[in-house]
Amino acid sequence: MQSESQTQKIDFPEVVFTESAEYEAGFAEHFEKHIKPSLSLLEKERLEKLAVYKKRRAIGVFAAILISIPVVMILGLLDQDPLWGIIAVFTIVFGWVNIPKLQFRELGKQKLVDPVIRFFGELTYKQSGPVPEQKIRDSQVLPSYNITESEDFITGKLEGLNFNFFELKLLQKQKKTTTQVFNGEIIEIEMLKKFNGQTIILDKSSSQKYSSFFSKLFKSKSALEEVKLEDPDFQKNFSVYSTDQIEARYLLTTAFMDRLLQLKQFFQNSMINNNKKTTFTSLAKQLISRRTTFNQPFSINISFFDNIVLLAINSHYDLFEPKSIHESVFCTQDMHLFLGQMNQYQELIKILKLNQDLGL
Amino acid sequence: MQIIILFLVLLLIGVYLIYVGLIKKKNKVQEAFSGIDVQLKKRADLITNILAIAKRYMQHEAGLLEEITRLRSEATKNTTTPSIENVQEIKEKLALESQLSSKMGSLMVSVENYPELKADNTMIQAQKTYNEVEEHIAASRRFYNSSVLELNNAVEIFPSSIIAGMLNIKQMPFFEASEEDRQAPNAAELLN
Repeated sequence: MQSESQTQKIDFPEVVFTESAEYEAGFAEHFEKHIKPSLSLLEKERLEKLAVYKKRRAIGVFAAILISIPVVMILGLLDQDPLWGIIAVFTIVFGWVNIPKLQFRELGKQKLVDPVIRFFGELTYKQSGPVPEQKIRDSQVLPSYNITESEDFITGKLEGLNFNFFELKLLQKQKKTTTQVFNGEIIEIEMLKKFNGQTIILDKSSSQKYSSFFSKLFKSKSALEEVKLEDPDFQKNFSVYSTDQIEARYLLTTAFMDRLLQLKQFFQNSMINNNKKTTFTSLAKQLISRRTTFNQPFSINISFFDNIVLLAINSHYDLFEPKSIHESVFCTQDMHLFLGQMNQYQELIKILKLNQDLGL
Repeated sequence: MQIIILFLVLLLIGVYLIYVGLIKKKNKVQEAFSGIDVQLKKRADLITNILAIAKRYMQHEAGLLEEITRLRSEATKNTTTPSIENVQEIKEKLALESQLSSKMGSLMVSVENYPELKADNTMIQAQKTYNEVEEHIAASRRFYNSSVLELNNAVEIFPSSIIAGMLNIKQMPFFEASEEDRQAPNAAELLN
């Protein structure tokens, strides 16, 4: 009740989206119509959840200590190690304290991501969805794995083409350790025409890391041959393999090579800008799962096969995370970033001319 | 004595590896050239359609249309893909195709002066397809030139140059882009 009366008194700041790039043209109007109204509601929700979270945090430690005492006593009577009991109690209390944070995260994604992506086309956002594992394997640009974790599914039409996007984490569980082999975004674009062969573009930073994996791959798939291209900058960053040398060059025009270099640069800059957030998230994840190793470099791998273009961006960055519960939602910085990323995918489709139905 | 035998064995292995490398490079050039030839044949078929549509409107470009018809006939005279053993024939074919490409570029520019032709749906589709075929030719040309570069390096650089000389493997000509290709005309854009 107290928190409700507090939120009602608050005057929310006037937020305006300023278009700062060509591709943002028209977004200010879209923002006013579809996003701004939900920001006030979201901010109210945030303040409410924050109040609950703070209250739970204040009593959480005492509650955990109080609950631990009888648990330790019971475990002592049963002649069991009380340490596990204490850990279990603290974990449960920690989860309970963080419920408002998680609720705000879910709400923020639904209220912000969905209207932003609708600016680009008939796209919808869902927090979970099916991972197309067969396509991931067929793409041949991802290392072997046995555990998948996924979230943030965007599906629909972008530039008139079927477009699927999701965040994916791939893990390789061995006897004693679990290694994270991929953590980033998968973008799948269905083309209007079918490719004759398969062409894959491997980021050199990932191919060095997984050199043993890729050498195994190319032994088994001898039909893939290296494609030597003219652009030295591109060759420095990427390796290209294809079953069709001419088609590979048809796809990898000089404009496309430039765009891919730009795309890589763009994601790297985004990562630097969000370094603080990413570092904190990674640290928290490592603390929760100490046996999981995180040591992959940033990379972009692409596969052209059947009628699909599949991009695997190993960015280690959560794209659709709303701001922390401690920060106001009245900030458009994340929207600029997300618009920029969506624009890169849109441009990629245009450069590749994937959306043209030619009479061949 | 043993050292001499070992040296000779190593030398033979080295010569064999150079021989294999040269043959592979030569075959790759032949494969790349066949790739170009497929696209050029596709273009030749398309040119017939474009000329048929253009003739209905472009009365003032009779000279250019005749020139294209002549070049097309010459280019399609030989239906079999020339072997790369015949360097002169390949040179002539590439030069002829470059000329044809150049004249087609001029034709695309001239279309601008004929609003009715420019608005003709069949012509629009034909030009779009032509543009696509030109892009495939450009891709094939890049593959061919990359293969030729590898072969020419091997033919020129010692010690493979000696084996190449013994096998009569010659340097191959590059497929240069025509002046219009360098300027990258976009037929679809010209029509809009």
